[in-house]
Amino acid sequence: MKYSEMDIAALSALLQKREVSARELADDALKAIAETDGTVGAYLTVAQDEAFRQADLADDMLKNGTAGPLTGIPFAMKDNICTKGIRTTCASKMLENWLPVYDACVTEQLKKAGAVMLGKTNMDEFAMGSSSENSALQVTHNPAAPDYVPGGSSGGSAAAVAANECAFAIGSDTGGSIRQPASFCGVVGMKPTYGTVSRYGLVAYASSFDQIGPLTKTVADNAKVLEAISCHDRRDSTSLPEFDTNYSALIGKDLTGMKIGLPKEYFGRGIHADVAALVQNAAKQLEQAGAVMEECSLPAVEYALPAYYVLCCAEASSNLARFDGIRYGFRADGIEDLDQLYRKTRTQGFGREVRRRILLGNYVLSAGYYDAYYKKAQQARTLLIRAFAELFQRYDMLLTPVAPTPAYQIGEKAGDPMEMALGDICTVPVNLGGLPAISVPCGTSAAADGAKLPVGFQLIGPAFSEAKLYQAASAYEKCGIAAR
Amino acid sequence: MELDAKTLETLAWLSRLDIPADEEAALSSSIAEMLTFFRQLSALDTEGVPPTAHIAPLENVLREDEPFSERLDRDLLLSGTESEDGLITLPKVIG
Amino acid sequence: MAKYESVIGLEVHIELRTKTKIFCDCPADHGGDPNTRCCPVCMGMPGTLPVLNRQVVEYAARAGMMLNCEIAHFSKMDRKNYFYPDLPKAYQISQLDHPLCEHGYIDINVNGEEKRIGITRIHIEEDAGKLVHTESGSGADCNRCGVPLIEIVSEPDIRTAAQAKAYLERLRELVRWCGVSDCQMEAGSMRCDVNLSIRPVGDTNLYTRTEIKNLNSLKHIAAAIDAEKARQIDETEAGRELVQETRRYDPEKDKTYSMRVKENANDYRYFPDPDLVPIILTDDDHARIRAEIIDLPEERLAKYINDLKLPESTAKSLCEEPKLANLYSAAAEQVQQPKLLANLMLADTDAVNIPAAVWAELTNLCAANKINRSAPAKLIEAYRESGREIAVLVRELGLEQVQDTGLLNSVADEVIAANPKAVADYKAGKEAAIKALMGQIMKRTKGAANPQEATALLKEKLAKM
Repeated sequence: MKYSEMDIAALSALLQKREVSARELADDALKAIAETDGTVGAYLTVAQDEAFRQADLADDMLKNGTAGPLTGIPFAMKDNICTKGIRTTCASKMLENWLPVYDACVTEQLKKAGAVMLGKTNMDEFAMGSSSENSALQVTHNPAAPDYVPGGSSGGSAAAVAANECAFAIGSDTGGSIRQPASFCGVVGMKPTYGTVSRYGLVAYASSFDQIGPLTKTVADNAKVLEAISCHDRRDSTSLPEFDTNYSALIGKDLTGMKIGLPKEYFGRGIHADVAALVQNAAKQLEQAGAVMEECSLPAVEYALPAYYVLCCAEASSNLARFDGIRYGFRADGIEDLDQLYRKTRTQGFGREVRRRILLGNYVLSAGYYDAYYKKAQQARTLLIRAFAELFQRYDMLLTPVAPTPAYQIGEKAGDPMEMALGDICTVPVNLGGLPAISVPCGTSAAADGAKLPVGFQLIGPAFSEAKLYQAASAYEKCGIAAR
Repeated sequence: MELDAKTLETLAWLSRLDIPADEEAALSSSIAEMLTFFRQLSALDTEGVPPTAHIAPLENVLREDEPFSERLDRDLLLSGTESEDGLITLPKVIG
Repeated sequence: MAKYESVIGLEVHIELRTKTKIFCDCPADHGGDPNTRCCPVCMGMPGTLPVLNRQVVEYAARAGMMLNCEIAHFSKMDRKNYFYPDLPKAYQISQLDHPLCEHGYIDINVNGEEKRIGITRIHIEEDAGKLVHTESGSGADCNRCGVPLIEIVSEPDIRTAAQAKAYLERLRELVRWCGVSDCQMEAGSMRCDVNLSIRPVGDTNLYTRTEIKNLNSLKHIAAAIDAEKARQIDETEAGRELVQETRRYDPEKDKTYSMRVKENANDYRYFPDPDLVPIILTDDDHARIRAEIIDLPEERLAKYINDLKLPESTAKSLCEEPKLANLYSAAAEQVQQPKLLANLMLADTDAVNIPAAVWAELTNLCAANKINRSAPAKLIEAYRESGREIAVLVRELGLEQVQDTGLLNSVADEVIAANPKAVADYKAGKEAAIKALMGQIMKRTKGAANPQEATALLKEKLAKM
């Protein structure tokens, strides 16, 4: 088996036994990128020198016995997370050549752990989108089927893992941006509890939803990466002060007595037959693994999607206002006055979808509309949080699809933002509630053109239930693989 | 619902964006479509429901009034910024 | 003119005297080369986040209490969205619907007439940067970005320029007094916007108002108020409609001019800042902050004059600087002669940097004649250099005053014996002659003798002769 195909656990074992060095792994991974990324297009920036520098540091750690589970492991970073001295573009013309002067908290954490960053991955511009087609810089193809989208916004990260161009990747999830591409590409993606991973250094899209998380080949790997990146950070006022980060604790324990709810609203209209079938099949296997499955209802999700879009567009319109061509990033030419500096720079620097969401956000916040839209959406958010809380008094977690459909063809939905938005229906409620949720591969759906498109299911738990979600997910992983 | 030109112009100005002529039609109809979609919320009974602004159960996250010892020097801070004599240069437009 | 009165409300911005900025740990004090007192956070670089400075909350609440405000139990930060090159994030973090302080007031007195001016609210917010215009173009300096401000908004209770001036003077006195800002208009640490409308005397309605921005001296504020009132009257008399707008005052021409701000420029699209969590102040917090507040300046003045029996001029000089007054009050508790203490402290230009205990010790040493009146200055100087105990310094510098009457006795006898001429002159009625003898005594004791005691002793001895 090639190094590039191995998971973190296997690579870490080899590194510990000195059967391979971090430098050799980095070299191998960079070769894999050189071979395959021409067809996948996962990376916007490959940081070869930085990778070797970090690999050498990792080898030192391995020698002097300070190595951890991620030391020497090659990974990819979503390009909206700041990396000092390495361009961080958010896949936007606006930041195409921006070099951050500081590292994000997550970047620091992974450096501390001795992980080796290979480069920065493609995404929807400023994380606004669900197919990575909104990238202003590059198209990313689904490794399972090149004509299909990898999902988004963390499409580059999911594709990089699926294409064996890294052992794990870091993504960010505002409305499903880790889980949906994980589902489309057939990898494991976790969106952790809001506040468990610092947002310091994550270029903000919608601050009260954004959360960073791992994309990996296996559930156990995912827990290990989350253990490395989650911590309290005094630079992020929304970073939670104290919580248990032993996310691997329950992996391997059987599910006897675990109660899992299946909210029927998630299986209704618009859900692709294969997706419904594959998720129901996963439910059966979790049952065999000892969990008690039960249908339940979460009517409040009906309002989740409009509430989500109102709030995230509002926050985005403010978060992206700082891109004015003055201090950093793109500045338009031929400026005659201040108004032009702003309007030309922002019109030329931002893509259509970003500009559309900024306009929408300014609409819902502007005088006379605030209460009808923004405040109403905040209240809908409260109702959804309450509804989730009720369900979690009866269930340890909920099982749902990640996306209504498998991956679609590149260009298929690009022209229809509304249809694109409807694809987020299964994932946004989690972000409105600040809850943890994991996306786990559960088979493939055969497309008309014969493409085998991966599909994942989603497990949603109450705040801080990551360890339990990993427990259930890994239990499925074992029997699931056997059954497939 | 339609989005009249005046409203779109106001939004564009508040957003400091131009509306390219070739995009105007599509943009205004897709914004109108989204706003109609948003208006589903009006059906929701939110009588006496408090709005949620923050999802993390936190309050009084405060730092002590202590200066941090190490500081980024100006050259690094302004790298990637058009500057002259330590000032961030602006087009000669501010009256 | 007389048939109109102006209705005036003031918005005052005051810089808080914290060590660091409101949302990052950059130094908050004035000065420094351009962009040397900022960091990725206050420059609004992508991915950075704000963390609120505890001292800003405490100072703002303290000022609020000083201005008779109710202090919030729940408060939060909001984003005020607008584009300008001195505002890196293109939004200012401020407070909209839950300010830290509300419903306060200030009592003023304008030539005998008492008036209470309501304070609507006090909120905390971040300052913007500075634009510098050179011949080569315009530049932005972020040093001031994120400096903590309080905005104090008055009710439209002010009617005249004189009242506005009195309100601002009292406001400055009180805010300086509670030690949260130096309130220096010239230095820009206190700024004022004026909201003004006119109405026929007796009418109680409010009419279209204009806002005059960026006034940086009491003189200009008063002048701007009169100029704008006159303009609004002219417009009204001429039957022209007044428009709600922002105006600036030109001291040269003594006129206000419209700043022609674009329509809907003031749609700030406020919303709660998702990066900052709510501020909760319990009753205990209120009590703790209130405990840091000293009495009002005039209460303190009265205490000094009536209880401590200080001359009014002395008491006033002490109360000019809150720091000095507090130091004095602390030291006064440890001395028997508060007047002597006051004189010693006021004689020193840098009194505030000497501990109260030291001032008390010096005062007590003088009071007990253990050192003479010229000694404290020397001791303070030595203390500033060495920081050693006063008792030790007294000994090292040989500043003890001779108490030993035995020694003084013998010296007096020697002097009398050695100066028959002076003694004869004295006996002959030349009172002044005793000065010669005193001089001798001081000479022989190297100035360590207590003049009063020595004179008394001499007179006694000479009388016996």
